[in-house]
Amino acid sequence: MAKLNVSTRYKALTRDLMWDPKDVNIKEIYPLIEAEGIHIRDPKRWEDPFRMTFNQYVKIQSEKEHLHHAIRGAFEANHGHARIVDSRWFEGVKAFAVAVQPAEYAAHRLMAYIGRNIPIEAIRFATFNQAVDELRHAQIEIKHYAHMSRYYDGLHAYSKTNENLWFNTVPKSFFDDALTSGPFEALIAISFSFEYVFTNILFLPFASSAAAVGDEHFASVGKSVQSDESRHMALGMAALKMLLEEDDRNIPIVQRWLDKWFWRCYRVFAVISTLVDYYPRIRAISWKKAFEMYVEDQVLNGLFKDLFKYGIRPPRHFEDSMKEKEHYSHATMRILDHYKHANYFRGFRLQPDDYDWLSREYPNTFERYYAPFFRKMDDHVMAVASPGLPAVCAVCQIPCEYPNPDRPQESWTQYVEYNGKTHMLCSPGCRDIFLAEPEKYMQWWWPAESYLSGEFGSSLEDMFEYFGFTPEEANEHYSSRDYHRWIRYREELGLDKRFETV
Amino acid sequence: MATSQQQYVGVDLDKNGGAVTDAVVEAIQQDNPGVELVDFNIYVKVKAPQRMIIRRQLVEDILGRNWDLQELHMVMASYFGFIEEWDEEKLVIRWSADES
Amino acid sequence: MTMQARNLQPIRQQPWDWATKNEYEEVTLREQPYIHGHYRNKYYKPDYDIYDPRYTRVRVRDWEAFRDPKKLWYQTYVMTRKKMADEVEALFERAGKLAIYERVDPAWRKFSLAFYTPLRHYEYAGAVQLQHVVRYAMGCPIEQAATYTAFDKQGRAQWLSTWALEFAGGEGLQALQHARQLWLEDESYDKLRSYMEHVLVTDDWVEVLVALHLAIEPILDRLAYEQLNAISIEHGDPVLAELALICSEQVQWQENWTASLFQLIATDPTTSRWDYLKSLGYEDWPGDYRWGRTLSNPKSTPEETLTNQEIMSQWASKWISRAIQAVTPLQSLLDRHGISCAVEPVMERAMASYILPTLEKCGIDVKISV
Repeated sequence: MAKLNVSTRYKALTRDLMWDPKDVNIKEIYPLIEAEGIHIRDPKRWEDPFRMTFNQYVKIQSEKEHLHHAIRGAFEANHGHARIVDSRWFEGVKAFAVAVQPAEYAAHRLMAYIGRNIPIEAIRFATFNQAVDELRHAQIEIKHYAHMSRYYDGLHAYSKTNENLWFNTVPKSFFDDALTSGPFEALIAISFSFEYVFTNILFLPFASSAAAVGDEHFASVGKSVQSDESRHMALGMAALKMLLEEDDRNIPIVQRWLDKWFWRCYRVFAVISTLVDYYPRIRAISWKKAFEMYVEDQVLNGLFKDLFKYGIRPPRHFEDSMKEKEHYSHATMRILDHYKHANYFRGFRLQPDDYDWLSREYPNTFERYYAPFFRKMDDHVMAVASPGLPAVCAVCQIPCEYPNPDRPQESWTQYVEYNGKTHMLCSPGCRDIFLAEPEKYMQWWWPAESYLSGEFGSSLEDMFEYFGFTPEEANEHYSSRDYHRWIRYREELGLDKRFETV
Repeated sequence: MATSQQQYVGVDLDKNGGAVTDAVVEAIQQDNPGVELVDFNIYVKVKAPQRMIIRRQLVEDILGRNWDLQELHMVMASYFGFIEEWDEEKLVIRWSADES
Repeated sequence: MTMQARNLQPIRQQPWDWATKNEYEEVTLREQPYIHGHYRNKYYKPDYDIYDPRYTRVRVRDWEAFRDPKKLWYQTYVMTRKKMADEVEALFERAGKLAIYERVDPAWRKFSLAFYTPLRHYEYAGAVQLQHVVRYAMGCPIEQAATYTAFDKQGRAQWLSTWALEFAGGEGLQALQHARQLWLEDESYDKLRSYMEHVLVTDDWVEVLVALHLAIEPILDRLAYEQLNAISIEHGDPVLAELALICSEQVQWQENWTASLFQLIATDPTTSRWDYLKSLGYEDWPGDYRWGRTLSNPKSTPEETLTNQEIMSQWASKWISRAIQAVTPLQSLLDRHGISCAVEPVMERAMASYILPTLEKCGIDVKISV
């Protein structure tokens, strides 16, 4: 046959498959298409630049799976978990496990929702691919934790932890927010704001740290997952440009979504800043530098310059995220340490090399505002515990304990009156999100209120049962049984033996 | 945001790709002016001002074997910029802000 | 694990508190959160929770109890499909090199393009509505199988398209265009197209699975991917027969897992749609403290009065009758092209060999009215 070029062939395989129905109303097939005020005129000219077909997809992905699971197999067989440079790394991996993995799963259901409800074939095959990819990510991550769970604490009831623990409401409410939005908003939220703006910073610095501390398995998870994200980023970009160019009336709507989801994504990444700056004993890069490179250079200085011609300005409060870069990981780690007695991933005593590194990377903020707090914890791990349950932000659901980056001695917490009730928000960014959709954010599941109402019993044991872990699995790492297990595993393998050379 | 700052496009390549990663990096360097490399231990960030092209033929010549652009999926951990073209022969990533 | 040194003994043999027998179960069970969804839908069914048993009328004691008989998870799914993709590509390549398409009987050539190419629309519509199932079904075990089935249908839609492009040679794009016209305008397709349109507006996700996998597909897929294989070969076309063999491997799996799901649902005597919470260890849960405050109380929705079997019987009767009506007119397409194949016996065989035995295992009676 006359060989068709890639573009024509891809179109032939993926376009004109749907038709205008003759026996039912098209609005019944796509009941949400007009709900959000988005106007689409001729979406045919758009396409997913990756042009991946079914055959290419399964071939490339099975090759990736083959490579990744070979690394996993070797790591497991070789007790790689005992070979990393410092076991506190696993506490960070646990955070990732129970926060990120369920998020991948939620994204899987979400992409199916988007693909089903947006009748644009030009991008639909890409959304279908992504729905399957997200299941992949959830599963290769679970395989990592399944092995860890056989040797370490905190992961054995991760589903319950995800359903019921205060910490998990942070990522869970983020994806629940997208899952309950209209399909176009969900597309911008996830494919653009999440995938394009932020996933690099999720997987690449963390994967580099993983390699640096000797967790080859996790390094491979990070890279293998991120290689799929490239396709998702392309989809996000194609979708964004399409909405902006299809109709001018879309522009203010898209701007509103970018404003909301930029800050929502930024806040859900709070814990990632500690996984970059704190948990690895050998760091690949600081949060501040990673943020400058991936968000400031690549997105704000790269992408948003390009979007200016549509009348799109950088997202509201992006200056706040830039100002906060020298505080973010420290303030977040401080929050985690405050509540480490009720969390499944532990805090830890900072070591001398940690103080050196953090002071060097954050000369303006660390010693002055944060080191005294961590030193206090070094003397007594419970000295810094906050009694009771955290008062959390009604949008991002992180405890309201962020300092105002302009005046770091002061709290950034905002108060809003709505419907006869005072709502607490962690920052102006979250406050504005709340004010734009108060009736939505009033519906959040507030863990503290739920625990106090005795939803799952009244004793502390009942509560931990409900969290999916025990008090022994919480707290400080270097005094924990996980640390001692790790030492024992190393002894058995002879990893700390010194060999004399004469 | 400093408006005078250069807009970069680029790719993050997995160093597990070995000879393929090396060949892609070399091809990018040969074909594009002003290429900068930043080494991140497990991956290498390859960036160029405004526009970047990766040509199949050149990668093949450097690698010394047949190479399909689809194989890039295996080593391209991430990218930044708009993907303007991706066909059998080339991948072009660019920003379009300065288009006139 | 007795081969491990004492100090390297794992602290638990099972990774999770819930029992898992294999890798598939490790990565599948309890993936979906069941309680504490944060917000209600902004537009679609605004009173419903994110994962809510009310998205279907049937009730199941334990949504996590379903198992895919093939135990497919992502890794095993893409690996088996890669093998199929390689086979399909090799098949087309060999066909081109051996110039097989040139030796195909002209009547068959015309017929096969007119029959198989429009089926890309049928496969695609099924894939689209399965995305609805993927979003709203309860639990990862079920929606995971639906995910891969949807992806398979996409794959078949693309394989059929590729086949038409190759077979029609220089007129490939016109062949796709022509097939679309047939799908939209030819009388033989009228009922089938209409059937798929009605599937696309079916809201209850279990009913979608019944409409697709207990009614139309067992009939049409047997015709397209089994019955016509020998006839294809007789007309000098081994390519299509081989492609159909690969397709039918996927189709058999989709029938197997849905049949076991239908059986699980039909034989479940649960009368409250909230009983599944017990299977998750939330038996003492009084319900979300927000219910009745900022949110409506889900438990105030009246329970179904019909049994699962009665509900499924209604669905099966409705969709099987329609499926027979949808496939019957394809006879005229066969006749028009002089292909001797009778559709009715194929339908009878599908009923006898698959649909009726499946219904029987489910304890469901159907009234077929054609």
